Amino acid sequence: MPGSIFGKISGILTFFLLLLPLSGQAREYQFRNFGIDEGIPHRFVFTINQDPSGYLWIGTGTELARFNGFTFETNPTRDSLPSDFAIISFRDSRDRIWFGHNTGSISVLEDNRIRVLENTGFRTQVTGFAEDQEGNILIASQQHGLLVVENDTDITSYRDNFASMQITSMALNGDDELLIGTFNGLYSYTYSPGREPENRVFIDAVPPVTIESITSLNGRGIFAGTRERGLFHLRKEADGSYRSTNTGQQSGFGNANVQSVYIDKRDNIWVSTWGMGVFRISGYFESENTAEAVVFSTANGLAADIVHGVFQDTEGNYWFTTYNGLSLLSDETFSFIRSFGEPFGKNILAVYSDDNHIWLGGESGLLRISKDNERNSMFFGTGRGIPFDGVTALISDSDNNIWIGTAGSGIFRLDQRVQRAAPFHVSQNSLENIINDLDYDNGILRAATNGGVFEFDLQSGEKHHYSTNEGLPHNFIRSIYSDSDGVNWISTRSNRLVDITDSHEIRIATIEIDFVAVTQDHKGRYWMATNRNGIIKVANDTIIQLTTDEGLHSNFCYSILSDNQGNIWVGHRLGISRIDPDTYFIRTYGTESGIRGDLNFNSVHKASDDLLLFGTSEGLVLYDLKGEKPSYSPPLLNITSLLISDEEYQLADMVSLPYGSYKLRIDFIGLNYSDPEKVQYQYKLDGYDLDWSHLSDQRYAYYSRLDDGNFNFLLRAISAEGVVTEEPLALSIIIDKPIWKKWYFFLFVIAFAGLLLFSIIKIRERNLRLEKERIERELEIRTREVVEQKVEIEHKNRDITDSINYAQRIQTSILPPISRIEQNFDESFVFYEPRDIVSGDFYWFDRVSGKKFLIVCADSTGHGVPGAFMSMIGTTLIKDICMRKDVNSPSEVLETLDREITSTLNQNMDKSVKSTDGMDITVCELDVETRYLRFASAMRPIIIFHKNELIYLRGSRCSIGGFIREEKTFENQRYQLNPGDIIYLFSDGYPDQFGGPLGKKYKMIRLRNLLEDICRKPMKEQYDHIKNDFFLWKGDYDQVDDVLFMGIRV
Amino acid sequence: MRNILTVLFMFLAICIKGFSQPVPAPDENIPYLVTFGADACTSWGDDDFSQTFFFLIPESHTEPIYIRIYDPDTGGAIDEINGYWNTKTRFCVYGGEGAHSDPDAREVDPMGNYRSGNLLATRVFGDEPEWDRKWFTFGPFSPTQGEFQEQFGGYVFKVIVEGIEGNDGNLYRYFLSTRPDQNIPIEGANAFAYEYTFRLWDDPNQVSHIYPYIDEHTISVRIFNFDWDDDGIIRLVSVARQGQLLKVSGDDDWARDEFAIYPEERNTSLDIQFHKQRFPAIRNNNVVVNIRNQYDQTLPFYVIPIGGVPQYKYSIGVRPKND
Repeated sequence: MPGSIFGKISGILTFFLLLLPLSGQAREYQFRNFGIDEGIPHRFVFTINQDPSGYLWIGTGTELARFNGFTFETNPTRDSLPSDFAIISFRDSRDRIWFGHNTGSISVLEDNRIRVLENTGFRTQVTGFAEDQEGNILIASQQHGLLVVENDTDITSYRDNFASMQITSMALNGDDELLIGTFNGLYSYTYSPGREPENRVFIDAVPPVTIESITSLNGRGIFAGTRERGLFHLRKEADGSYRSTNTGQQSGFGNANVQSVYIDKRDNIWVSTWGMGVFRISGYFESENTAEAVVFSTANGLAADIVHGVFQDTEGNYWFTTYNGLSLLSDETFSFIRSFGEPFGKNILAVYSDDNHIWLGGESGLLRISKDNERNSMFFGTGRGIPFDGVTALISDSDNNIWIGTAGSGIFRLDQRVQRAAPFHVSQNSLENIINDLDYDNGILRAATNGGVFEFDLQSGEKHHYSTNEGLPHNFIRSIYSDSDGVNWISTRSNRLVDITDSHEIRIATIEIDFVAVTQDHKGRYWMATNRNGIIKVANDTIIQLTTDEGLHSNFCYSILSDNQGNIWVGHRLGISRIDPDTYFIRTYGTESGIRGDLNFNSVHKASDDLLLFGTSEGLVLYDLKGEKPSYSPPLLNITSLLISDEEYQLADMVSLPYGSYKLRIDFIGLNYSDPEKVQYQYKLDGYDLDWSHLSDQRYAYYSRLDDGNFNFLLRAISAEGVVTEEPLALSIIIDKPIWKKWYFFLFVIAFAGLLLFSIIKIRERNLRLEKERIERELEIRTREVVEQKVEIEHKNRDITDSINYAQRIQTSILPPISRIEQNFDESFVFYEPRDIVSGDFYWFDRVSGKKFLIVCADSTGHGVPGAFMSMIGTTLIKDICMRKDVNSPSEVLETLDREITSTLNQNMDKSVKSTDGMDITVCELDVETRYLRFASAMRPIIIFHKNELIYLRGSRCSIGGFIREEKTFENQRYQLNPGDIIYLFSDGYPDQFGGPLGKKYKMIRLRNLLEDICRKPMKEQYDHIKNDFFLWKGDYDQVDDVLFMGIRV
Repeated sequence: MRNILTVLFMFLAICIKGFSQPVPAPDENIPYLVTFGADACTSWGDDDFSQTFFFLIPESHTEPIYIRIYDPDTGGAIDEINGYWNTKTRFCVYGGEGAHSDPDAREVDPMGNYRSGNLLATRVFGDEPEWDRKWFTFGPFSPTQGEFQEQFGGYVFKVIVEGIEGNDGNLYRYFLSTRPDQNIPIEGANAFAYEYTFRLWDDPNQVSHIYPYIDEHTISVRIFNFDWDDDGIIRLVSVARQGQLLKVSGDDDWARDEFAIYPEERNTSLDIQFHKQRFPAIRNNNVVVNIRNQYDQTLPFYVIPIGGVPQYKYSIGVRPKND
């Protein structure tokens, strides 16, 4: 039986191992250490302080550095600093920070500038600062006494009463007592502002040893830290003497070399020692006897055990200045036990606690740790009845038995009275031996396995097995959880969360979800951890899913827990998420918080109201809710750099720039030391941006072009805890307007424009006046000329008119008298209306051969005098032609007339002198007896009223004279008229006359209509109608041509 | 080939020595430094009951340093008792401005401002068995807490030992270390003093050495020794001297020897050798030595001799054969 032999050997080995203390089982806190690798200038850190802007100033072994959470800047103010390094600092009531240097130099930081005090006379290191009630700063040097700085620059040195003393520390106790620590004990002086301290008294309540620090407790005495004898608490007696108690002996650090004492905001006392780390004493001022001392040292994460001092910043973080760099303790919520030594290891598969112990399940057994003393532990392995297997689930029953679920060996029960375990449930089905979770409730033990759920009645011994056969959605059960209503929810891979009897169900849509665990918050809402889909919250039929998009550390969840404050804690690989169930704000913790391992499935437990336990692959993570800060402060915002068009600009509250286009880059930081990487920013440039930028961890804002205007850069930040800056940081940026946008420029332009306008008006007025005068002169001249010309023209016109009038008489005398036609016809009329006294139209009629009567109606080209000339020629030629014997028809008259005109006007000769003058003419030959009518016409129509209708007869398309065509033919047209018929002859002056209401031509059609209306009337009436209608039509229009209208009733 | 090996050996030897800061150093072959209580007689070998040593840390060294003292108490097996143990000795470590640069700090007598600089640490030891033949450690100190001395290229710490009570002799040694609990030498470090008060071996076969450094400005030196008790001879060896005998002091008195420095001896160390006589054998002999130049300035004794332990260079004259 090799197996049993191996088991016995293992048991023996385990037994002996149990006799040995487990090594390395120390609780570590989440210190963040800053050394050379993190950028600190020197590993020796002597002092630290915080300026009003939130920056930390760190005095190191080589130089002063400013820390912003990310980088250590040396000489950030670019001031001239003392060459020696600062070893002590002090922030006074005016928020100035005083630095005491190694070789006696003193510098002070005020308004972001460092000023060095001159002529201090100190050549040895500065050993103390204090501020009296009048605001004077007291500064002690190791070998050069004391000096007092009044009014910033007035320095008074006091050495006489400190001669031969080597001062190691100094403090004011109240208003009138100065305490001086030396290498040989503690001394008291009477102090009064403006006077040298006097009445030195050795305080014998403290041994004559090196007094490293003196801390006044504001009426509660003083602490004197000594190099050789620990810490003394001194209280003044009524007689003025001091009584002391050795606080070091009380608090467990004995005669430690106490470097400094710091009282934090919660009245905790932090004692920094040389070689023993830091002791924190809590509750001391309430009761010295019950005060608890906790040590922080390299054993639990501090950078060094030689600690010069402790400092609490405005966020409440604790900073430790050590001889191995700087350490930061943001809070004490997280602590870690990384390793438990062999054979247990460090992989915590299950965690549980009862009243006195914490139980841890490991890969090879069970470990019990005393809550009172974590170093007091006991391992349960094969020697104690527990198989060599992973312990994956733990629970205790009402009899204080520990029930142990294993990774493949079933369920075991550990009887604490005999401290041995025995198998309780081992199945033939190996899947049923894989225990994922255990739950105990009122005598019923339930086990979640890979083969379903087992329920054991521990009283009756009954066992029930629930699986898919009983309706469960899956046999692989991750966990089992009894809620406040007694429902036993099982988590399995399905889309349903059910209880083991399948009578309760929470259904998640239709997708399949790998449920890991479920818990209930303080308001009864269900929170489910899943293995791929993040967290699902169910409340009042409302389902909310939280994933990495909402800030979850990972969508793969391994455990879930609700604490007494209502927070939901979710375990992931290398991280934990904490969810505020009301606001859904998720705070994540990862490696930066000290979590180095993966959280194991369901390895989580609420050990008490304040303590949560998480089992990881790299040890146990403890979260103490008591260690949380009472409040969180928002990041302190600072602008670190201002680049304007790539050039560094001196920082100020307001930036004023001349007009131009600028590139702008603003670097900023939200000082937050507990979690600087998780600070997120929003900014807005009022006057440029319409809205705030998106939240981002980017620490600069860039604007590629800014023109003139007033801008206000606003910046706000949110810390990892979700605390938002109350008032945005503002930086006013004013880019001057160009001169043409200035008010005075507008004023100038208006004035100039007014002046210009006025000048223009004046000039124009002047020019107009001059022009008017010139025009008037010119007009006068012209008027005179016009008058003269008028007179001359009137004279000439009169002469011409007289001449024309005379010519009219001649022309009238040439025309045949109307009586001649009246002799031959009963009725007739001639409407003859020259346009210009003399006329181009003319008529002629006469009896030519017995009974033949010729009537000629002609319209010469032109009118007025030229027309009259043509009419004179025409009349003369007509008379002549008509009297010729060889001319026997009207057409021959026209042909002859045409030739005569052409000849007379030389139109048949040289083209250069050819005129186009001629005439339109109608020649009618009427037999007065037979009323037989022959007529020929050149371009003129003739209208005959015959047989009670008007007949419109066209003439030849050729004019008389004008130009020579190849062939001019004038045809005779013949009509046998009846008595009473009427012949109408007319020139184109009548139908071409413009007038009427629309200023149009009269036209032939209107003339025919007129004749249609009047042709049956007596000729005298027709004459009146024709004449009146003409003038009525013409109205105010000018007469366009000579008018000749003849009517003859045969 | 032999020459190459010799040079290589010497280089290694210098390198190894350059790493060691025990005080006294192995090259000195001095068993202990000694400081008597203030009530002791100077005839017991300590002229002022005070001893000042300086420790030089190269500027390149940035790690913490520790000054360790072996057997700092006065009592037990090593120290010199006079009647009963009643002696208290104060060890003070100084740094900062003036620790070395103050002229009084470089004087041989504890007068004036010889405690110049920042007192970094101090400890008074009496008869404390827990420290008998044990190492006590001052530190850690930042090298920058010392005084930066440009001529040395590093920071200087000063340790003053004063017998403040009693009449016993406190015998002790130092070690300049990088560790508080081990003697790990600091690379490139050194230690020096302007006056050496030390215990001689009782064994007459043992020869002790001290190595004053002669700088380039030194023309002549005066070497003082106190309370040699006529216990043998004191020889001077240098690169130019094969073994010049120095005047020796008797009981409770000073001997002074003055001589010119050869040009080749400048920028080298001298080797002052203490050869005890065999008869009569004198035990528990303590001696004080210091050296001054022509300006009456003290010259330092380096525990690691600058330029190495001086070896006399033989001058071999060569004449032309025809002569």
